[in-house]
Amino acid sequence: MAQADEWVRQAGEGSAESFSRLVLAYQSRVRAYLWAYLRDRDVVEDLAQETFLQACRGLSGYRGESTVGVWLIGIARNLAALYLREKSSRGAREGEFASSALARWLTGRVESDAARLEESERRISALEACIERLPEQSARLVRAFYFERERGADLGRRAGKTEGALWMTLLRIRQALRRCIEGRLGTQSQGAEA
Amino acid sequence: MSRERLEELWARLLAGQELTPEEQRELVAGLDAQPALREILLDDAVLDGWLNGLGEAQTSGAAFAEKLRECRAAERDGPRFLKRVESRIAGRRRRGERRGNRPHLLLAALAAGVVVATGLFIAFAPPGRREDPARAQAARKDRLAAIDREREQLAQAEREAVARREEAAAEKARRAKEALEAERERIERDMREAVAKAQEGRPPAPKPPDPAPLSKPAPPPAPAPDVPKERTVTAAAKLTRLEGEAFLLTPDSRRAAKEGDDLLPAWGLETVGAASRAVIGFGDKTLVEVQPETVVRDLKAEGGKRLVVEKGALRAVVSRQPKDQPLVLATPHAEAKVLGTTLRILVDPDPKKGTRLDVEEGRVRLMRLGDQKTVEVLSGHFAVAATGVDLAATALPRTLHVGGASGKKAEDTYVYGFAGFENANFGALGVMKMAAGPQGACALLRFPNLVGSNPGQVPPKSAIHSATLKLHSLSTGPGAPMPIGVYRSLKPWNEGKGNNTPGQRGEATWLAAQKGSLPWEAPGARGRTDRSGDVAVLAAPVDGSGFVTVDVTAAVQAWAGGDANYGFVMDVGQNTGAEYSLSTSEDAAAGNRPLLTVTYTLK
Repeated sequence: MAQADEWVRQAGEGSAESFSRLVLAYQSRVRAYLWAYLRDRDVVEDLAQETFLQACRGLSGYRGESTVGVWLIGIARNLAALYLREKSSRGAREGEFASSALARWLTGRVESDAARLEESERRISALEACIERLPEQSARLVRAFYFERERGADLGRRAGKTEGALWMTLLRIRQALRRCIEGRLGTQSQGAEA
Repeated sequence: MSRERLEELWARLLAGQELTPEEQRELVAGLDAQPALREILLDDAVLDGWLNGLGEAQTSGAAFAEKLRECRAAERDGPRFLKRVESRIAGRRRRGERRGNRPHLLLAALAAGVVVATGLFIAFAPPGRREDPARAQAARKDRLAAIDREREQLAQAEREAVARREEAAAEKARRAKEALEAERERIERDMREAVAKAQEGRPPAPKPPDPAPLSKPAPPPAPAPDVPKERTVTAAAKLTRLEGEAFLLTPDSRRAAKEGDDLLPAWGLETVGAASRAVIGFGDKTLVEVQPETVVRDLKAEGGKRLVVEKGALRAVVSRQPKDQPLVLATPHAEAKVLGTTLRILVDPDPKKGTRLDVEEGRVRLMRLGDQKTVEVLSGHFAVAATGVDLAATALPRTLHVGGASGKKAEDTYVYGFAGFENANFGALGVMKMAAGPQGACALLRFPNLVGSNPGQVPPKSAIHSATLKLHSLSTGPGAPMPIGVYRSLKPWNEGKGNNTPGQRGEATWLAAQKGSLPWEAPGARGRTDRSGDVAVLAAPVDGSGFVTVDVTAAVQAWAGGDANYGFVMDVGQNTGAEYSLSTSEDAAAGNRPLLTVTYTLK
């Protein structure tokens, strides 16, 4: 994205407007990436801000060897890995056995993610497109739960489902989204081959 | 335990529902026992996280950008920065906010730490849980981590204020840092007391929060009258993690190290044993992982970090250092000056092997002490400073994963010679089969676009260090040998979309690489012009997780060198009378799909 490279250059020269444009263009991917591994709103917000601030301090060091998005996700990944390493060294809290195991497994993922930054960025972009391709009812549920932050109990009541059934529905929708992402990436790579 | 039950528990966990301790144990044990399902559900957790992140971003993107603009302006303007911090603190105190509702602001986070630190730390725990010693300890640890983050921000503000010669702002930042240090000491003291009291079997007495001023930074803590002056020696770093055995090397002793030990200036650390490993953490979050059988000495933090690596290996994740104060890693053969990067350094006592430096990110200048020659080592490169070795940066081997859970699917199918199936195609199935004999079966597997100049491809002409193919066995149990032969296909074939249905034109069958246009020389791709004989592994053992690993370095090297990549033909190497089945890229469990791992360097 040549435009993004230009924003980086101008922000490096002190342009606050270009920096804001950069943030607006990439904040969703950076925050999505961090959410996947950290699963804590406060921590995600802090590290997302830190990602952009670190990027801002290092604008002159950006050499265009990767895309701006991959560069930013790389910074976010390093911050997330540091945070998770530090957190995992502190052990599990009582009564949070499953959350702690989830954090441990995700830590393993983020550690091995360094070589797959570009793929992560492409997958997040593909997800945005795949949400649009969901059947209307599923898309409405995703928007209500994830984007409008409606409570599960309210959504279940409206849909005539138990909360448990609602969580399972969301699980199935996510599985469909995953297949869609893989389909899109597969299509793109076939396109590149052709 | 059934997949449905695990999925139900998982869906509730991700939705933030409370699971009983029994349910939690059930879920974790179930997923530990079913790694393939765990990988699928971890993919789901990642996707759930992305959705949460995109949702947050959509609803608060503009506000997020605005807050960042504010933070950035604040960083550039030290005095106003601190003033805003103070005013936010005052506002926060007036509103009596709790952590659960905090507005995710860096400034607010700083504010919490700078002035109302101890008070907020106590308030973090919900009222009904304050008596729980384990939770109180966990909250203290969380607060310590937050202090580290806040201190880093203040240090940055101070540096910038000093650079602009704004002494008042710099002084304020310094005092705020001192307040944080005082808080850290208090928390650490509380933690020690809590542990001691827990050991005595008594709960620690509740401690009232220290009073904190509302609108100005806390003054530096008054020195306690009974504290001897020697305590003013500041630790250069901390031993934040320790596995196995290690020793602190002080100027006059060598004593067992333990996690949490301070490392004072001029001290060192020795890890002993193959399982030993330690992490040294500096105040700016620079982390140095000391690997097994390593000795580091003469630690220094003030005026630029420095560490002497006498022998062994370490890996460092170095936060950005001040321009004129790089972190220096000194070895008997070389000095590496680091301004902010991730690197690994390996020191061999033999001067002919010398010091090897790998740079994962950033750039490092390496100087060979013998002749003072230097070389700049960039990201993805390494250099060796040793006697008789050319001091030059060389590309590090890179590893590429294709197939498996990497997101890039392979093309795969099998062809079947049993009467009535010679013209069938099986491309849509999650299984591929191999069987010996004229009415046998053989599998076809290809990783398209493997070689190319784009990211995610092996660059043409690369030197292939290794290439391994990992296949999931559906028929042969762990420990049993699978008599698999892996050959390079010499003919282009098409996977097809058949589901044990008559092959369409162009699809692979027992009789043709492409039905209707390109027959195999011999049925089942067994002719001399159908497959090469240069890659063949017989009796590969199936591991404990049900996978077979085959070395295919020669095939990938041939493709990187320019040969056409028509993938592999996989056949049984000897007739055992059995049929062998492997998962294809259509397997629902991504971890079971064929995975190719290639390690290469650019030429």
